[in-house]
Amino acid sequence: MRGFPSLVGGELLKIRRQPANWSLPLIALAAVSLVALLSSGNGRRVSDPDDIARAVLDPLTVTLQVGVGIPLLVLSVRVVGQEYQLGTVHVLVARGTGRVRLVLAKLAALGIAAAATAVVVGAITVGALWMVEPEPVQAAAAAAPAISRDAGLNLLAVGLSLAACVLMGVFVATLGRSVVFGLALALVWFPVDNVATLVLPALTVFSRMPLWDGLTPYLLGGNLNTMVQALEPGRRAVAFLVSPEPQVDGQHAVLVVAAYLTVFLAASLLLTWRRDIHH
Amino acid sequence: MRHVPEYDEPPVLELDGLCRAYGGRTVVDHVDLVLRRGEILGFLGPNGAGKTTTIRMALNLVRPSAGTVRVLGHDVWRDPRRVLPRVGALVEEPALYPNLSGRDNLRAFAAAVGGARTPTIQQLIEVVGLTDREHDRVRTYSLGMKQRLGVAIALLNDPDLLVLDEPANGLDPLGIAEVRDLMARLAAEGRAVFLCSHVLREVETICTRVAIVDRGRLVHEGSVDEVLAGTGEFWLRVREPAEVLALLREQEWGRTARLDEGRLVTPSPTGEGRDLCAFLAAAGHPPDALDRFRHDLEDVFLRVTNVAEGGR
Repeated sequence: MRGFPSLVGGELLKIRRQPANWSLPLIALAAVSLVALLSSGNGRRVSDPDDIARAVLDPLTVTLQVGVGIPLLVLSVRVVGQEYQLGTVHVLVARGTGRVRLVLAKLAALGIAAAATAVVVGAITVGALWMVEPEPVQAAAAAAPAISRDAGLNLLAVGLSLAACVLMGVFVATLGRSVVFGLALALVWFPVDNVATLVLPALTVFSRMPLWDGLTPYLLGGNLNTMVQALEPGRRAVAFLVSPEPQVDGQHAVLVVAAYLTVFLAASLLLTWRRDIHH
Repeated sequence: MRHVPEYDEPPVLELDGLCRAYGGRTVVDHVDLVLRRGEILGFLGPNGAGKTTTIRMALNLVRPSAGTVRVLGHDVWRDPRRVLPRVGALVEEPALYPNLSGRDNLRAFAAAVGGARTPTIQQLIEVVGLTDREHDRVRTYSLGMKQRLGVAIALLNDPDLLVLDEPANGLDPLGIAEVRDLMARLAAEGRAVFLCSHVLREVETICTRVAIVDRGRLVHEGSVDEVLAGTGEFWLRVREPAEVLALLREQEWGRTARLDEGRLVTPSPTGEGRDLCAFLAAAGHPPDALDRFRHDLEDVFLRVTNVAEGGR
């Protein structure tokens, strides 16, 4: 195994062999349990495709966004921050590993880890939903072609959400060159976004300056929260883990999230490429 | 023999006018150095002299303000992927993944240089004597074991140039001797070794050349023999040193004779030891012992870096 695949293999080895990383899926398990609990006993009718989609796809989407997203955010910070904290980045770079290639290899490894985790957590979630309420799951399986468009949009929302977690984690860890700094910044980002989504409209009222409210549609967290709804305007709000959501359309939400992803990626690459590596 | 040096082969390492400044402060100031196959260069200097910054510029970690670093004729900063896999480095304390085993650390770093076969990793583990602990997590290793693992990582991919910063740090006397033998063997096989160490006795023993930096400037460089060579003087042991010293100072050629830490140091009438011996025997003071006087590296180091005079 030579070149880039070898580099990605090395990153996967480090992820696999760090015992602390294996405790992260507990967060996913907690999310699955919570979603299963909230789904139980709703007594939903699953007659039309929209009901089916809501009964299965929404809890599945929330579980993946939260249950996989948060562990992935932590993992991304660890994967990058640890190299700086331990000083191992200087060994890698001093042995000819290009700085940009190193970041890209880490992103590829995190992408593989994210895909694998999402598949496993998705399967567990569906299993848990089937155990607490088998009817919607069976109906969803039977009506797969009818809900395929909804499923595709939910998948896009999950994909963007997980990509945001990975790229944000890599960016904040690169910026601070430390796990502690990265975790502190990454874990307060979304809560701050959510609080801002609530506070900024109030600030507009008090200050009589529309500027504050004008910022709300450009917050990353809000756009991720509202992504599914924005992409499927006919659907009602997600019933699980309700978060503040700005009033934006699907195209806006996708563009804003894509802009954040681009900035995170570009900043991570630029910082890694440009800065000296001291002890 | 791994490699027979070619006469016209480019140096393994060539630093040319290397400079680095932070703000207005110059840390490395026009350092020029050449290191060829088979050589072990001792790179010395007081703390803060610019040694580590020089090493980091050579390893693509810190961007030079001016000057170039070439490895095997290729610019390290223009073509890092081509040359740096040929360089093994252990800079300061070994940087390792504490939650991985020694073997997994080697595998993880091997991946960065394009992968290494399992037998190669096994060989390296044996070379540094970690066979018994290869599957244990590195966080349970002693400093000496981590240092050995750091040396093994530096040896991945069979490098042409080894940059070792205090490789004996944390090692017991046996470990120090093993690392010394390893460096000698690697140089004999045609590799070049760039050794940074504060253990001057070690440098004196093992290095073929010495370069001393002070305040960012290269202040002394040459072969160990050149650096340590005296000025054609001899040291001798006699029964009445004060009487012999007075006798020597009466001679035209012996005016610089002196007592140096209990030893009599003097020139010879002809520059030959046997003539000095004959002179003393004729004067009734045959020496009990006599040898060519050599400086030791510590004297040279203190003199050229001005530390002894409180110059820092």
